[in-house]
Amino acid sequence: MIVETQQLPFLEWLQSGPLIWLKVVGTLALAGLVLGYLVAALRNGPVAALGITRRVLFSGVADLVLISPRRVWALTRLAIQDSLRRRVVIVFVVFIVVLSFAAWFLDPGSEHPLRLYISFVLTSTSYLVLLLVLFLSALSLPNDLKAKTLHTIVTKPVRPSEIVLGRMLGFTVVGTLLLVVMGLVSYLFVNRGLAHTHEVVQADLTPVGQAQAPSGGLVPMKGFSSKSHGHRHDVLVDAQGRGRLEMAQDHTHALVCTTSGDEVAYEVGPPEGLLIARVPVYGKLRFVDRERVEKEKGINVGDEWAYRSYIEGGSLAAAIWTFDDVRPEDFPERLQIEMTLGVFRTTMGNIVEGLPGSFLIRNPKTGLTVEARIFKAKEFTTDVQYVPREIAPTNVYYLRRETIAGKEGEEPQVKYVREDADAATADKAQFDLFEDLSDNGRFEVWLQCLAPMQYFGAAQADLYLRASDASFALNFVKGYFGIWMQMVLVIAFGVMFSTFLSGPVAMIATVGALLGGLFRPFMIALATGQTAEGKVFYGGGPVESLIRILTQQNVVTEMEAGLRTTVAQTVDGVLQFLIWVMAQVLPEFGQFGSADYVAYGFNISGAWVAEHGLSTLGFFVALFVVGYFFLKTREVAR
Amino acid sequence: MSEHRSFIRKIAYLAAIACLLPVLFWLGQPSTGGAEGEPGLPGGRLAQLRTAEDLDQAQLGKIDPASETIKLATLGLRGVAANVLWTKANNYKMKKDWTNLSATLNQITKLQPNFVGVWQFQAWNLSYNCSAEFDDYRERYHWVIKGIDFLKEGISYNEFEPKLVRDVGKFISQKIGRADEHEQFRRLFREDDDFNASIPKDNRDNWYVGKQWYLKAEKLVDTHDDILSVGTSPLLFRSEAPMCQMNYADALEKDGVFGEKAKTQWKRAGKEWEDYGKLDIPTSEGRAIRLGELKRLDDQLKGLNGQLDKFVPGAREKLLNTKAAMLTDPQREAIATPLRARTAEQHQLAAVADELTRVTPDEVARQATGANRAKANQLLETIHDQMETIRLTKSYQGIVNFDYWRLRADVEQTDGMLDARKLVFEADKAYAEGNLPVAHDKFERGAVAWAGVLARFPELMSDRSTIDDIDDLVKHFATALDQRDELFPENFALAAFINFQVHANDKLYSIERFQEKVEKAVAAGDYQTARKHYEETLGNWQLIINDIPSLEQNSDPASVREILAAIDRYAKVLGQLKVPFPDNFVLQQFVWTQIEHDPNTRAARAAIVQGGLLANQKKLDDARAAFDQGLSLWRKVFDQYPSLIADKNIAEEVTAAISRYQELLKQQDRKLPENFILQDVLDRNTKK
Repeated sequence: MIVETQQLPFLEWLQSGPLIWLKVVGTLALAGLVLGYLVAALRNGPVAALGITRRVLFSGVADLVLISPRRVWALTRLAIQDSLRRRVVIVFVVFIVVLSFAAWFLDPGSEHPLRLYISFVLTSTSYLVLLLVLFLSALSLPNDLKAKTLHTIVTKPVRPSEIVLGRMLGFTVVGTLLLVVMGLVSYLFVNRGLAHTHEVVQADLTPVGQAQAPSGGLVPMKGFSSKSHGHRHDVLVDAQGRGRLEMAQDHTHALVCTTSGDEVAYEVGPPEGLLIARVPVYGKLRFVDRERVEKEKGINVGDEWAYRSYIEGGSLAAAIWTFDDVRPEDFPERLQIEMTLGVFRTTMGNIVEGLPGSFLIRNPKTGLTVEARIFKAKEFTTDVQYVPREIAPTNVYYLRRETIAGKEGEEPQVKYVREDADAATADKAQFDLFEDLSDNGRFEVWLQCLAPMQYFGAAQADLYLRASDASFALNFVKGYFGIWMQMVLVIAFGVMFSTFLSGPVAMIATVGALLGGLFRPFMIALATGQTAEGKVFYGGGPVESLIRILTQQNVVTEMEAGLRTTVAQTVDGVLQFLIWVMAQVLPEFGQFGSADYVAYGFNISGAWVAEHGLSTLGFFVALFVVGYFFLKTREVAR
Repeated sequence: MSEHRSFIRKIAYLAAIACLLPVLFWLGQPSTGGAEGEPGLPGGRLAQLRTAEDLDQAQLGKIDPASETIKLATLGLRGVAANVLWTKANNYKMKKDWTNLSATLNQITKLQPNFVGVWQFQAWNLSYNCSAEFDDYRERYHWVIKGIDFLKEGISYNEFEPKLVRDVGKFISQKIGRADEHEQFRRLFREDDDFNASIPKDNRDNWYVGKQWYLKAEKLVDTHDDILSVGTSPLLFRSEAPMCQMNYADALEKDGVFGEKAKTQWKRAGKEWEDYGKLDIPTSEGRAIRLGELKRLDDQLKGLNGQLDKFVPGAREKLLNTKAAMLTDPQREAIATPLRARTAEQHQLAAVADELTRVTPDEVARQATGANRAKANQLLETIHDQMETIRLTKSYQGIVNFDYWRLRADVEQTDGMLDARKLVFEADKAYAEGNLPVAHDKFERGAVAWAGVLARFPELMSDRSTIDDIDDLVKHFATALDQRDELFPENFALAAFINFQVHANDKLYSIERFQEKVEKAVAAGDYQTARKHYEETLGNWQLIINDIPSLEQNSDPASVREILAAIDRYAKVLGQLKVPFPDNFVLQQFVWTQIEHDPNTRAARAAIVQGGLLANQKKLDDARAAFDQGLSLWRKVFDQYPSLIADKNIAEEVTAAISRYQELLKQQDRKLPENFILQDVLDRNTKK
């Protein structure tokens, strides 16, 4: 699975995430306070304004702190009733209709059917639910204001904060209920859609080699199954009549064969390995070049997509993953390494065979290195390799870490130097993975390409250890939790905007805020003049860019010094600051979706759920407070 | 009051609706297909327009409810949606997310199923670009097939679109048959029961299947007058099916299928190519031509010119003589020089002279007088027309290599050619299996068969593909011979062919020119110049050997003799100049191969070895005799190959033998004679 942004461990995130939140919220609160005071000062003079600001602040704090759960619940119920009156059930009906015709668009012959099915159900669910809550949240308050129904509420002893919170919670409850039902239906749909079986008949099987059956018994057979769901499997049956349908479209089937007289019947089991949630143990990736000098990146083979970095075959170059805290109890017998490599050939080479590669396992502390396994690379598929706990290597040596002087003006570099193992180590027949090759659960996997002039490409998430699997159903639920968080964000933004904007405008503003979140990296690059990778972001701010476009000036050349440039860059400074603030405030909406994890069969980690859950809560609280103050400024709510 | 008003309003609306209904009916009534044999109702105006413009979904291809639903669901924004999806597809391709790429392409085509360009472009993308991304050739094949399936789906929506049908033919034939991994692809194609479910196993050759699709496309074009474009010129379009047949026959032989089956397929290829030559091919200039009629056209033109000459008897010769008289001396000399012997300058002069002496029909016609003048002019028009047709025919023939393929089909169906191919195939196989005697025998017989073919079709001597085929044969034969430490047999059947290649090599012209200069220099006693020219000559011979490496192994004895003679003459010139043979002689390797296989060398070595053995046994007299014999044989070799004296390895070997001989003489209290036969070798090597 492709992981382009790395997930921080929860504890690490906890040290930075909430802090940023506090900073941003604090700054915004302060800015709001100053702005409020200025407006009041303009209207009533600076001295009176002080009093007004103090009053608003105190009443605000009181409104926020003294919220009554009972009243909020009453208002929540109101919002729910309001939603039901607007026939939200229609969305569910639409969903069912979409699902019933889904088979037209979903290609059963796809190589990775789970990805298609999951993307489809999660995408359609999120589109429908998000659209629904967008309408509900953005239109509800303005409609009430227009129909003056809100007046009947504000005459009751409720606080404006309770109105805002009641709306937000009410719509969330409605959306949640809808999501739960849709999730159940989707789960059944995926399960049903992917369930299939094949037929295996004796005519399609041929004996392996020249094997002759001892007196009418079974012989090892191979062949292929019938075609179902757009694919067929290779079939292998051993002499005991046990067999399996080999991997195709990400799954296998068990095969049981029963004999009655001369007749042999084969019974094929349900698909296995299709609905999974792998729990990967990721390592940290670095590279060494052909002289074994450490590098952050490998070679770029000219691929447009710079996700994978490449290592040269037939040289000392290697991609190195360092794994921390690998516990023997997770891997009692062997290490299961799963990888998806990129293969790049500069010559045709042997067309028929995959490129050979090897794994070295190195102890980072002692430098002891053993050649653990040689394999043939498979591209675009998850290749599973096993390294036994007790390794009997063909090659043992030490790779010592040395610091060498860098080129002129550059930092010193790290180089790994090979040293032959002493006789006792070299003669040792077996090495234990955890005793000899790991330093308290920390070890390195070195991947090398053995074919000269050919290359292997790897990214950090391309190789991981697979210890156990989590429950697919639970993962599916977590996938829906992603949609739920997106829904909560839409509701919070919608309700907040609708406290001071008319319905349609609030809707556009909500969509804008969420779409803006998609461009966050671009906005930050524009504001800081630096890309996320630390490279220069050419072209300057908005005004400078405009001048460059009009004068057809290259983005790389310096602007001519002069009044025009100074003015443009000063204005840009202010604009860039505003863009920066906006980028900080907007949520990265896409990041809350987790469909890919479920679709690729990877477990959504607890850290992911916690981090994104807390972020959502953070936005929710902030937006609620902002919404409350906006509503308070409106005459009707005072 | 207001009730009354609203009633009136309702009535007005109803009346408006009633008025609009007939218009709507006139515009929008759908057409209906009639019962068997009877025409249906043409439908409303829009339906009629659709029918007239062939835009009816039913006329384009199948009606797909999914596609129709998506089209409707995009509310007229399907162009925008298709663009968004297209960008998405590109992004998926960049990120190598093949599952989503296929799914997105599927969606695009559901949105715009009758946009043929999309099918073509994305099918190409799948079969050529995506497939290349995979490392496993089976995956690559799978994606090629995916692209073809995509095209087939496109055809189901656009049944009358020859571009798609042609593309299926192209992908099946060219992509599978011409890829680097064509061997594997062709095998997988034969074994592919899913793709070829309806095709019997015997016919599952990609070229054969591809041809059927090309024919289908041709049939579509022939039965539908309204097809404007097939994606290529008619010339190429019509050549594709017969070319597939050629490739089919060729591929059969490469797979080791010979005999009647190969012969039949080549015959069919020849027949289809002839038929192709009879087709009217429209040209860019409007007139239609037939590729196979060039000879007839030429004959006709001759006849027409003859008719013209009758109007003005003798005018042509007169004009020619007048023009020839105006040529300069160098121009005349250039024309008189045979083509191969001309210098670059002479080539130019000759071209100008040819142009100057050309008599055009117009010039002849202008000579006519009286009533003949008008007739001649009339005839002139016909001649011009004929000439233009000939020019176009030749130019179009060149594009598809018409003559070559006609000849190829003719040649390939002969028994001699089939034999040659079969023998060479078997020889290669035997060689790969390490069965050298069989390989040797088959190569030799294959060469004889090829020589027979060349004798029957001498025009093949300068045909590139024949040269490549024979080059392969000679190269493989040479390797097989080398393994047995043998040279090509003296009567090697293809020696004449190689000799022809040597003479077609432009370096030989230089050699011939140097030869003249050398002769002049020697005659004038200018040995220094002669030496320089000889060195250039020998350098050119080495270049020729680089082009035709088998020469070193005596594949063309005549050329080898020529080279050795040139070395001999060079040595004589050096002798005249009293200059020793240079150390780094260009043809050293060539000479070395010759002496290694020279019987004298072998005998000399055997005698020296024998001498050594006898000396060890203390049979000193016998040993001396053996050494005497050995050294005198070496003398012969040195005399035969004068450049050998500069060969360090041989010199070392011989000096070692001489010092052994000296030791032997010492034991018998003798010394080397004054006029020792290999004194020159000794001098040259002891000096250093």
